[in-house]
Amino acid sequence: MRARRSTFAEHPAPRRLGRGVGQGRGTTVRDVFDDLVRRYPGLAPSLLTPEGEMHRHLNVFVNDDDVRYLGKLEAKVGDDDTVTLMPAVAGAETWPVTTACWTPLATRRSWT
Amino acid sequence: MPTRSARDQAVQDRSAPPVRRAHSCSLVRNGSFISVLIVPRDLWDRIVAHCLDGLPLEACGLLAGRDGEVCEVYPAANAARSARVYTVEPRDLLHADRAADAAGLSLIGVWHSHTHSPAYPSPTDVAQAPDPDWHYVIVSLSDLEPVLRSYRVVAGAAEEEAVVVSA
Repeated sequence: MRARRSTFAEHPAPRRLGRGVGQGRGTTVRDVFDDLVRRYPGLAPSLLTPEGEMHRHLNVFVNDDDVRYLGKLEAKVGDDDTVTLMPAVAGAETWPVTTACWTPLATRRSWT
Repeated sequence: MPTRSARDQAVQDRSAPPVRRAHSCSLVRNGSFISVLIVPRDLWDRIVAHCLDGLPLEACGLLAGRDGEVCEVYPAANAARSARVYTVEPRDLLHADRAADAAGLSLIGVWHSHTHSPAYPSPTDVAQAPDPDWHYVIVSLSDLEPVLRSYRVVAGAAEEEAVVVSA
């Protein structure tokens, strides 16, 4: 079974760690996570909540299938399967705009 | 493909003194780095068109390229199906990542639309930014003309970057 990490990173929500491809062990997604954490302990907060559940901001696929529909951590993984891990990409608009949480380009730099 | 002259032209349009290039996706002015996102005109059009097609809901998609230059765009479905919230459909994210990889590119950012507010990142946009190396493009459809801005989000702070639309 081939585990492929794609663009995810650190606690508290998955962020960029980098792209990695490796061989993993296990017959379920939970086994794959346990194997990854054994080899890369720093990944643990990105994969699981403190309660041991799959992090909701993490997308996990077995081949082309989203494990949310396959039993999440109990989804079966075969020897020839590829497990892909990716962070969720999401956001929300604020109505109305009440706070400035960005630095505008025009005022951030001196042009003289 | 965008050329060096596109960046230099953008600088000159601001009536600023010449800058020296730090690396391919930034400029240096007065000793400070300025992040730049280069978007070919045809891809800019596809981004905006996808946002307009998504109305009245928020639309989103993924940017692929290298070194601050967008080489391909992958429109995605908004899994949240909301006018206020977007979530890139996970399978669209997976397919875009694979397609970019097959093309020798990387996913370098995401765009989404704001249907009722300006093209400024919300606290949620900043908090949920998945990658500090990404470019975060927001297209506002609140006025008659779409407005596209781009940001870098690092350590919980968003800074606007220059967008150069190349021929």
